[in-house]
Amino acid sequence: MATSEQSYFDPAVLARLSNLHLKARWVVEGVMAGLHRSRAKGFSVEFEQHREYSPGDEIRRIDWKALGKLDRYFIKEFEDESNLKTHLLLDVSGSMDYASGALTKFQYGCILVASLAYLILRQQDAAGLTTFSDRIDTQLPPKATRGYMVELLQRLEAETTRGDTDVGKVLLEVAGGIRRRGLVVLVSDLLDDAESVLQGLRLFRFKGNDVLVFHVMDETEMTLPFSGNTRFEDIEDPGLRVTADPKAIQAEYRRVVANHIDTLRSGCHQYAIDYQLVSTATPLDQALVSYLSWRK
Amino acid sequence: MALAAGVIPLVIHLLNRRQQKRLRFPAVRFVLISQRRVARTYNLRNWLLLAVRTLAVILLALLLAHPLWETGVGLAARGAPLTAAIIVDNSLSMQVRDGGAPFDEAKKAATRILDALDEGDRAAVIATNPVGSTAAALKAPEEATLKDLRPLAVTAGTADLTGALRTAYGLLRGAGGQKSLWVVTDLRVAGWDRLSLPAVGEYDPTVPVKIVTVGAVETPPSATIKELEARAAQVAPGLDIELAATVVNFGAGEIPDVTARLTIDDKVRDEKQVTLAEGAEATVGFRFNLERPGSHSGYVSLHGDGFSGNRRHYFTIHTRDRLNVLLVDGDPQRALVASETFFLSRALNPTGDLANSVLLPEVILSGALEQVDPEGYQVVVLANVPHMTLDLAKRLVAFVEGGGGLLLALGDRVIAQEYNTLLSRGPLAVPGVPLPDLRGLAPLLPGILGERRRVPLDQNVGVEQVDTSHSALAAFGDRRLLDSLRSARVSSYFELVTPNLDSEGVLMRLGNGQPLLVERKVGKGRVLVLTTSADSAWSNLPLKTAYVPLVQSLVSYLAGGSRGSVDTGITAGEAKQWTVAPVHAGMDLRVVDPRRSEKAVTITAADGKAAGAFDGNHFAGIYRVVPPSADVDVPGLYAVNPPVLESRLERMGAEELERKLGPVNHEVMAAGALSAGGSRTDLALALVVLLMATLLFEGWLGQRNYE
Repeated sequence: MATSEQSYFDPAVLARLSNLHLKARWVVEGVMAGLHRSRAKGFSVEFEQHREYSPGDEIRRIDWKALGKLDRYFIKEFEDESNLKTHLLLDVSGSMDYASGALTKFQYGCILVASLAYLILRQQDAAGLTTFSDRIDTQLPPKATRGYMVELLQRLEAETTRGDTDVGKVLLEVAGGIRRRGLVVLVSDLLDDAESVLQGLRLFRFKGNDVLVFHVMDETEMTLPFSGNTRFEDIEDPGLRVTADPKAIQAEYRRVVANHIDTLRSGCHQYAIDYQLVSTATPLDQALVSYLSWRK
Repeated sequence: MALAAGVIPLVIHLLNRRQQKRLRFPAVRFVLISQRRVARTYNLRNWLLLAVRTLAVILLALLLAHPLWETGVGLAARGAPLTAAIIVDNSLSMQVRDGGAPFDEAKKAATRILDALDEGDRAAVIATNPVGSTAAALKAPEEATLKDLRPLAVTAGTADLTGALRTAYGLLRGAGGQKSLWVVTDLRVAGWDRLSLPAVGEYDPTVPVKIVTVGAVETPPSATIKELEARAAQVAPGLDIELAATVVNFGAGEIPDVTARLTIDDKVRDEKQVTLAEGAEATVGFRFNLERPGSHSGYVSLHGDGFSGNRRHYFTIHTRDRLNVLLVDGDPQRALVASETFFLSRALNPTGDLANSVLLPEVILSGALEQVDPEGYQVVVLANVPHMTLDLAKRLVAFVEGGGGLLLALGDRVIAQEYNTLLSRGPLAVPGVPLPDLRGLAPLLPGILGERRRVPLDQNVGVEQVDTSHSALAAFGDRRLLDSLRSARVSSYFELVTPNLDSEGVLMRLGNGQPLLVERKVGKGRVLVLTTSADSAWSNLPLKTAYVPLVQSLVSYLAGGSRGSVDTGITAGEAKQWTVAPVHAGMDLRVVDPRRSEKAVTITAADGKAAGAFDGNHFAGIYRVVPPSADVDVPGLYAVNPPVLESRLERMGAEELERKLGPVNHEVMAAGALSAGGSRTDLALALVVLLMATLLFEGWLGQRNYE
C-alpha cells in the first residue's frame, strides 16, 4: 500500500491495483486530499428518489421531513438538470496497446477516464462514455446518478484495444450526435493526421462545447531511446515495418514528434481547446488537476 | 595480411545488420518519416565510417607488421637507429674451392653491411660455428668489424644456423629502433637442412632476414672420404695394419684419376688412383706397418683437378711395443690341457701365430724360474707356483718396482705361508724356518693369504662385482662380456685377509663378498692377485667367452697401458671425452688444437669415475693431449674430421628455404647486390600518426552520425 502522497498517482502503483473502480477512487481521493474541498456545485432540484443516509453524505441533503415521519435518515437524490454534461471519449485503437513501463497507454487512459468519471459524478455532474478506434465502439450517454459510475466502470473494464486509429472521423461522428452543450474530454494517443484531429475538435467548439484533450503518449514514443539495429513493426498495421538504427534517427524522430505535438497544441490553442500532453509515466494527479483547473 | 584484416569491419558491419532486434511500436510512421529524412546523410556517413574503420584496421595491421620503406637493398637506416645482427657462415663448405673464395667473399659482404651503418647504430657479428667462449654481443659497427669479423675463421663443422638465429633474435629482442638480420652464407644444404625454426625458440617474424649468398651458384663436382676403417686384429710395431678409405662422389658427373694418398707422421706411405663414377662410392685400401711404438698421426688425402669437397681425413694410431709375457707353470701336467698355463697361453695368443701377435707368451716351469731374468719381459704370470724363495721375491720386487707387471694366479700347490712371509708384511712365518731379512723389500701382496676355501657342491658362488670403471676391466663395459664373466662359477679360492683392505684395490669380488681379483701398486709397476686358479681346476672361468679378453686386458694393463688401436677420429663440433682413474679428478689435461691453440680440460669426478671432456673441436686435424702426469692413461693424440655432408655442395632450393623459414620475412640476394646500397626507413611513426588521425576522424564521424 502506498503511503506517500505522490505514490497515490504513480502509474506503477496503480498498475498493481486490479479493480478499475478502486484505481479511480484511489486517484481521485488522493487528489482531493491534496486540495481544499471546494464548494459543491450544480446539483439539480428535481427529486428522483430517496436513499438511506450513509456517513460522508452532506447533512444539508438529509430529508428532515422523512426523519420526522419515519425516524430514519434519508438523503434526497435528484435527476438531471445538472450544470454540466461531460462526454468522455477514449481511444481504444491498437496503437494504445503499448507500454514501455508499467501501464499501456490504454490502461493509463482507462484509469484517467474512470477517475474523471468518478470525479464528475462525485460533483454531481453528468458523465458519458464513448470508446472508439476507427469507428465508435461504445457509447453511454451522460448521466449524473451515482449508480451510473458502476455501469461506466463495467463498460470500461470490458474494453480491449482493437482496430486502427481514425480520430478525426470519429470526432466528427460524435460531434454530430451531441445536442446539448457540454464538456468533451478526449483521451487518445492522437496517432493520426493532426489536421484531421483538429478538424474534429473544431466541430465540438463550433457546437459550443468545451473541449479538453489528454494526449497520452508513452515516454519511448517521445524520445525513441533505443539502440542497435531495430526492425520497427507497426502495432496497428503489420505491413508497415521499417529497419533503422534508432541512435541515428533519434534526433530527427524527436523533431518529427515534437512537430506533431506542436501542431496539435497550437491548433487546440487557436480554438480555445485545452490540450494536455501526458506521458504514461506521468502521475495521474496532474491530469486530474488540469481538469479541476478547467472546472474552476 | 593487412588487407585481409581490413575485411574485419565489413564482416562486423554485415553481421550487425543481420543481428537486428524486432520491436512492435505504435509510432512507426514517425520512424519512417525520420528515417527517410536522414537516410541519405546517414548512409553516406555510415559508408564513410565503415571505410574509415577499415582503414584503421589496415593501418593497425600494417603497424604490427613493422613495415619499412626500402631503397636498394636497404643497407643504411633512416629515421631511427638500426640494430643489425650479421650471421656469417663459417662452416667448412665456405672454404671449398669452387672457382672463388666463398669465405673471403662473405667477409667482404659482412664488412660492406657494417660499413653502411651509422655511428649510432649497433651491430653483432655472429658465427654459425662459434670458436671460443666469448658470446656474440652488440657493438659499434667499427668494433664489430675489428674484433669479431676480421678474426673469424672457417671451422670444420656444419653451420649451426638454428643456434646462430637464436643468438641473433636474442640480441635483437632487447634492442629498440630498427632491426635487421643478415645471413651471409653459401646456402649449402648441409647446414641449412638442419635449420629448425621451432628450435630457434622465440623469433620475431617482422624482422626482415636478408640472406646474402656467396660462392658458386652451380653445384661444383665434389668428392670426399666418407669413411676410414682400420682392419687390424692387433696394432703393434711390425704388424700389418690395413686401412680402407671409402671415397664418395657427391657431385654430378664422373671424377677421373683421383689420387688417394696415405701419409703417416708426415711421410707419404702409399698412394692409389681411383675413378669415381657419378654419385658412386669407391673403397681404397692401404696396408702398412709401424716401426716404433707410441702415438702416430696420419691422414688419407685426395688429389686431382676439377673437384671440391673436403680432401683430407685424419686418424691416429696408438701402439705399444709387442709384449713379452712370462708364464710360469707351477703345476705342469702330462696332458697339455691339464697344465696350469694352457688356458693362459691360449688366451694371450689364440692363433698361436707369434709373428703377428702383440702378446708373446713364453711358458716355463717354476723350477726354471731361477735361471730366467724377468727384466726381459713386460709381464710375469705365476700360475700355481708353490714355493716362494727369498731370491725370487727380491727379483720380483725389483721387477715390479721397475715398472713390470706381476699376475699371481693361485692354486692348490701354492704354499701360502711362503707367499705371506716373503711377499707380504704378514707375521705368518713358516714354523721352524728362520725369518729372512726383508729390509728394503716392498710387499707385493695386497693382503695376507688366508685359508683355502672350498665351495660346497650345493652352493653356487660366481663372479659378482666387477669394477668396469677400472682401466684393466674397461672392456667389460660391454654387457655381453660382463654377463659372460658373471656366469663363471668358482669352486675353490684363497681368502685374502687384511684388516686394511678396502674396496679401492678390489677389482672383482665373488658372490659371497670375497675378493677375486685384487691390485697393488708397487713402485712403477702393478701386481694383480687372482685368488682362484688360472686353469679350470678351481673355476670354470677359462671356459667362458670372457676369459680371453679378461686375460689380455689384465696383461695389457700390467704392461702399463691399453692395447694398440687405430682411431679414425671424431667429427668436428663433437666433444672428445676421456675416462681416467678417480684419483686423477681435479687435474687438468691440456689440449692443443691444429692451430696450436691450447686449452685446459679439468677432470671431474662423478659416479665413482673421473672424466674430462673437450668441446672445442672446431678445426679439422690432429689434436694433442698432454696429461698432467705420466700415470694418467690417455691417448696423446686424436683426430677431428669435418662432417661428411659438408662436402655435399648443393645449394638450398628456394622452395625448401621457404619451407624452412616459413613465417619469417626473408629475402635472398647475391653478395654483389649489396653494391646497390640504399636505405630503409621505418614507417612505424608515420603509421602511428596516420592511425591516430584516422581514429580521431572515426570518433568525430561516429558522433556526428548520432547528432
